[in-house]
Amino acid sequence: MSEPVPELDPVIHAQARLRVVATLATLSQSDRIAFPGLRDLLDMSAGNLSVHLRKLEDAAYIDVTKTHRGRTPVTYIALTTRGRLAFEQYTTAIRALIDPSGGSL
Amino acid sequence: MSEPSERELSPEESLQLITRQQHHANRKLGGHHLWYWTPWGVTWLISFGLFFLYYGLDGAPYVAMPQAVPLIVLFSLMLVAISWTAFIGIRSTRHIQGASSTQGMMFGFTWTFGFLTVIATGIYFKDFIPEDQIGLLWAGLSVGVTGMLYMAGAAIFNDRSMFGLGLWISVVNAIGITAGPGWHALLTATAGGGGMLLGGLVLHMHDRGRS
Repeated sequence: MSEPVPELDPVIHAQARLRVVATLATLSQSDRIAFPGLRDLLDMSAGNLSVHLRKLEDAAYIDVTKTHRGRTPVTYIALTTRGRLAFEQYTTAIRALIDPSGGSL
Repeated sequence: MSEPSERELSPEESLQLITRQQHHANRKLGGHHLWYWTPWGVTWLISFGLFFLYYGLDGAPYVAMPQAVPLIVLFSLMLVAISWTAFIGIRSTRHIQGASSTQGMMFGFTWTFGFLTVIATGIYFKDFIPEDQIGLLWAGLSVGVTGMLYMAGAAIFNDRSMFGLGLWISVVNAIGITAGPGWHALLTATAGGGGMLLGGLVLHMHDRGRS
């Protein structure tokens, strides 16, 4: 009996967005990161990052907050609970694809 | 990192990408081990090396100098190490907002106020404790507070290597205090300071091996 092949979330299963989500998943659940900080960690252009963030926001995987620090506008980004769950499911799925026995005996 | 067009990743490539990216992010946000451990290792190696020369192991100094010399060197180097640690801590988390930046700030204040207690205690007891023993009170308290704060910091930031470091420092400090000023200085310089330099290097190699 063959195991069903787990389906990979198309929102996350794209190189650039996978890197974005993996990076956001390293933050504590109660933390958020400013846009320039995230861009530094990913080494992406601002335009490219914005495009991918919009797709992740449309899927409700990230929360984008626009606020002010002093007089400077800042955009903070954090993974939502749904996004964190999707990332966990994604890593579980790729592990299952790499090792279908699930590493058991 | 350049982005090849959105080519389909194999599961192995995906997992590698996640591991590599998360390791990179953790290192950038948490700082390099060498940056944290080296200034403290150098501080202790030099200042407790001086204390050791000042006390000697059998009560006779190896090099004659006023006790103020190793004490001033200790507190000056510690001030540099504390400022450096605070600077890289603030720099690496400047883009982060939320619970962890508050935790970091509170932890920073814990160091300041921990040492306030050390300084107040040392100043009060300097008239009651023989001149040749007061250095051990300063040194034992300072190293003890540092070891304790490393262990508490490890609990806050969930960092096992930091916990190991704090445990090691606390044990070395307690054994040294029991053995007396000369031994305390020798142990803190070599096992404490030297151990920290070595530990930082080992963790650094380990990190590089993973990336």
